Amino acid sequence: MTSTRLPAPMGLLIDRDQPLGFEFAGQRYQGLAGDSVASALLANQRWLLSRSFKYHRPRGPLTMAGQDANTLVQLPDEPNALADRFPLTAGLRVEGQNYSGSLDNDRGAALGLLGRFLPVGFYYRTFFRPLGVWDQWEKFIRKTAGLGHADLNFKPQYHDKEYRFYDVVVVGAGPAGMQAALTAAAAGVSVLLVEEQSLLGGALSYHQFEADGESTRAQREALITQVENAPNIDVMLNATCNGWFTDNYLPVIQGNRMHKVRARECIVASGAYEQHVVFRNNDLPGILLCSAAERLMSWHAVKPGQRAVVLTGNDEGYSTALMLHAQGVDVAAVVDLRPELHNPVLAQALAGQQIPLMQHSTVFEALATKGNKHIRGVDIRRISGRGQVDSHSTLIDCDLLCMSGGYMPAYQLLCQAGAQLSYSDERCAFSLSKLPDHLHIAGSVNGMHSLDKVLADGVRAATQALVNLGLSDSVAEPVTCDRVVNPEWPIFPHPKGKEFVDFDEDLQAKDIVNATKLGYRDIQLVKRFSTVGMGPSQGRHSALPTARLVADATDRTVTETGVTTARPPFHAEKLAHVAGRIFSPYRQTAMHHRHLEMGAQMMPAGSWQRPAYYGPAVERDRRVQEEAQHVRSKVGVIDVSTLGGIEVRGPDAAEFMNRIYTFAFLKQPVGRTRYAVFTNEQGVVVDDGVASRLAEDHFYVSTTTSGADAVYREMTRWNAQWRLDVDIYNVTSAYAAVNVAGPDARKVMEQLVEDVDLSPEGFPYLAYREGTISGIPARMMRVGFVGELGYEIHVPSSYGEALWDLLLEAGKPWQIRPFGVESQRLLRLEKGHIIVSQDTDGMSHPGEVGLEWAVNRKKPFFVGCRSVDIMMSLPQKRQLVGFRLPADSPRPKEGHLVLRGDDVTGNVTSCEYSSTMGGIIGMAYAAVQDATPGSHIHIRVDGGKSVTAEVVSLPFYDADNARQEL
Amino acid sequence: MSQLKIDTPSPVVFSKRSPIYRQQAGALFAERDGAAIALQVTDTESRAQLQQSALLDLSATFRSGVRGRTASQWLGQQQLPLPAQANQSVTTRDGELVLRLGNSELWILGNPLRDNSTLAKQLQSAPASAGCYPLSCQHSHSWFVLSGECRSAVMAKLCGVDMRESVFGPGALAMTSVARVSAIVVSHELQGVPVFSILSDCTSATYMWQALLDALQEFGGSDAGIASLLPAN
Repeated sequence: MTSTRLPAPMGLLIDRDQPLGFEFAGQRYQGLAGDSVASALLANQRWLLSRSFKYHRPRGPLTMAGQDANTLVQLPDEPNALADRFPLTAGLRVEGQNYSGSLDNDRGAALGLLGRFLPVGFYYRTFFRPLGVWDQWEKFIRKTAGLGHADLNFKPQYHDKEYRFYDVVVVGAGPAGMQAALTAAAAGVSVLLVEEQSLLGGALSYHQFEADGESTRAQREALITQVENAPNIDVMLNATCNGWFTDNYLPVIQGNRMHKVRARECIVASGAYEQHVVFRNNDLPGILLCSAAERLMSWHAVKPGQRAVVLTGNDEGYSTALMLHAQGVDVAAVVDLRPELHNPVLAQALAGQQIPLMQHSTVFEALATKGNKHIRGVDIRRISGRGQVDSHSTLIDCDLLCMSGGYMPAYQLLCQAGAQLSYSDERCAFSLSKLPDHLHIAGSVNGMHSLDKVLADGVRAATQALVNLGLSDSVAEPVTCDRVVNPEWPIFPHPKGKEFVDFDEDLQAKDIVNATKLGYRDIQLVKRFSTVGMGPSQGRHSALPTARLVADATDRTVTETGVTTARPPFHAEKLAHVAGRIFSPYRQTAMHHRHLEMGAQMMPAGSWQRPAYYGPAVERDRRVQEEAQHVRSKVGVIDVSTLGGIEVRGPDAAEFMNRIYTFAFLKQPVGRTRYAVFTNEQGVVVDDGVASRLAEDHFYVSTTTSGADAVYREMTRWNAQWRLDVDIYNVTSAYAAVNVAGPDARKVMEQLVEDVDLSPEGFPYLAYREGTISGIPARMMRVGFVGELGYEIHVPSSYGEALWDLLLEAGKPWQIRPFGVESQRLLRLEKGHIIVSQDTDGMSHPGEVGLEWAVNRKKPFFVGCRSVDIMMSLPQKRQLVGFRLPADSPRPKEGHLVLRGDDVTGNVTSCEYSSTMGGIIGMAYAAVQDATPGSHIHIRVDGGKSVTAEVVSLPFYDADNARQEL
Repeated sequence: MSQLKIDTPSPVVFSKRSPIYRQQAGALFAERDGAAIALQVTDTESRAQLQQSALLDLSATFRSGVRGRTASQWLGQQQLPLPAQANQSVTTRDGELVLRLGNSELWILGNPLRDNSTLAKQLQSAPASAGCYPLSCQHSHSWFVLSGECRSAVMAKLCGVDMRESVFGPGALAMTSVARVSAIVVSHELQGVPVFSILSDCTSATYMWQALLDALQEFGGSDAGIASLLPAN
């Protein structure tokens, strides 16, 4: 393969001294640094880059700007990469996609011959009957329709996000965008200039706004120099503003990062998309937009062909022809769709170069080489009416056809912001209006098509932004441009079809018209039925011809027809960009690493990480039983730092506690703890804990691990109404806590605590004491959650690990060992203590779960008191009961149903084998009739079997509470 | 200014420990307010590195706080300056920081480069009065410092608040979310080096430390000790 490049100043992006070898479709090629994959391939005369979605037609680049689906290729680890955007790198291996056989010889191309049997809406109309037919076809169709393949061994790359803040953000660094940025920056504001391509300049970087292009180059260089020298302008190249959200919140994607940009003022200078002309075979490789040919030459120094025809509906095509000629391309003709000459100067320039001009004519059909792999000529006809041509044909041989069917404003961001698109029959173009405050529009997206107007519009938009920022009191004078760049009707149906409106979806002009004939008159319905605009290019080139065709077919104006809704993202966006660097906060107690060192199996508890038990996972059951037995017979220690901790302080602390919790707290003695149940306004038990009274005006109350934030939130919410004189302080993280439990617990404590009387009389069950443990300030409570002599010790969390170390060292003579959450759950189950949210649900009131004793019915108020009264006065339907099963019975699991005949009366909430009790024990909701000890309940276990369990009174263990009160 | 005691080989010598002391394994530690603070993490640390980008753990350093309707008066009684308004901080002549988190919540952060036992004694001996309640911020929050020129850019990857120098200069304070964890971010200087102090839930300290280090890597930053900030350097 040979590669020839045009001389400078062509080739703005390439480095001619850095050749890069790469592969495409199994063949080796050489490109240059700065090339895109597509430009490097075209430099090697490789035009066939992809196959179309439906008919598998050969496709080459259309825009050379990443705006169409013709350049989708397969990279080793990524499908659907845009070859005209993806930068070439040394050794890159690229493949085509969506073909059967090879890219050059695709068996799927035969589908093109069956086109007449695959009308618009074919799938919807064919595969819905007979019933089940879709199941037969789906596999085949999915295989046929897929684009590219995902590498399932792909190693995710690092993606992240960044917040940015600017006074003014300008989207698009063409002449309007650069001028707007400079105008804004001159007032001293911070400016971000976002450009999708890898260079500044927009159309100035490739298009000649006059015959020789010299002043265009000078203008571009001058603007770039000013932008680069402006210290308050940040430039982002290769960056796509992928959406507009309220208050100018702009996601800008650059590389692997999504920048979340906040702009006080936003100026969209996104330009306009050049449109194709609709004629037969307008998709052949070698047919591309005028701007694409200019980009190829200006950016990559690639000569796009040897003999060209230019088909245009505006003066820009004349410039393209002159540029092609200047770069050594034989321009066989300029075919102008318009009936009259608009720019005699350019026409004269063409004549000066002996380039024939054919007025009021069109390409009626592009002629293809074998297999439709490239254009070999064009059939030119005079236009006889709207979409009509004469029968006289002029055939011209060529290997390049450049076309310009006008422009469509890059409206997507603006329409996302609520702007309105209106069509002007006079200008044959859409325009935008009704922009929200602080969003501005400038340049060709605003209908400006001469350079002086584009620049003036940039100044105007920036001036308005500065007025909004209070930095200018100038009146931003409107800029008007009367240049018409869109031909009236660049659509020429052919009897043999294949005149494509939407290249992505292989939709022809007749497909759009037929959709309307089938009743889909609304543009949104046309889109969904025909899939027009639903491909990767999202209607950039199909929206305008579709609007025209639908309007014509339904006797409406184009404005009435409109375009389909533009939604973010503007360009294809990877989920990795949306996810970014995933922040998943976790919480660890002060003793976390000690648990790991001791072999704990950690389990999540909300965002906390807690030890479930200690030892290998395969020994789970044995370890849990051993740990529980050790607590029953000797002494164990468990990390309970995850329990919520809330301080209630102030003169009204007791009154506050009395209102929040169900129990009575006004007369709770200082130095005592009390069980605290929290019900919501519906009377449902939502949390519980232990309230310690530290002083007359000071309570320290624990909550469940998962309930801390919610309880704190509810407390502050209620006191916003009550206005009691209290301070409510969430100290969950400030304290680390352990529970030392077992018959030897006091002996361990005596090794460490010198300033507290630990005797049963000095520190009885349910008492609260403050002291020190080897110098560490500690809050201590006599608790009985696991049913043994127990001390809950709370210390400032910075001392948590040291406390753990001290306890394990001091407890060695009594073989102290840690126990985990699973073991604690067994121990408390043996003791018949509920866990709120495990043994309760969204309907559980205190009476159902045996907590009547913890509800003070004499006090005037507590949260939920009225609901509790009502529910407890109603006939009760279910009751939480304890049940037993023999050790060799199938073990019910939490959630298994309790049945009474065929009726579900409840479910199992807790169940475990207990070596202490010598059998399976559990708690379950049962019908009230079955709640009496000695009754039996039927539980449906795994496999649909039913087991019959005996209802027993709670607790299972130590019914007279002798052990915890030692 | 007192000299650091460099004869303390391991943070576990102290009962009071930073929640992330293990993250700086191999560092040279020194005593600070009854716990260990990393003096030097690598041999190549310098003031220049801190001026560029570095992450320090000051969790050991003394801090306290009060809140309530009389909190401001209490602060005045302690001869400490009150920031003019909420969400601001003031650095005292002795290098302590006073944070005003709201109209009725004040935190006092000790000077990490000196012993704060005098301040600690002073504040502990001034019991909270009616309407003024002590806060456990010493133990509820870790204290990390993100130093240097890149600090705003680092935070831009983790936090939605604009922390550029022009809008978040010395004295500014934000109660916000950093890497999805509630945090207090304070802009101030430490021995002439511009820094952000980040105070966040100590139970998420390991997560936060790693998130900050991850964000820092792009700028060539890493964790460091306080040695290069000490006057002798």
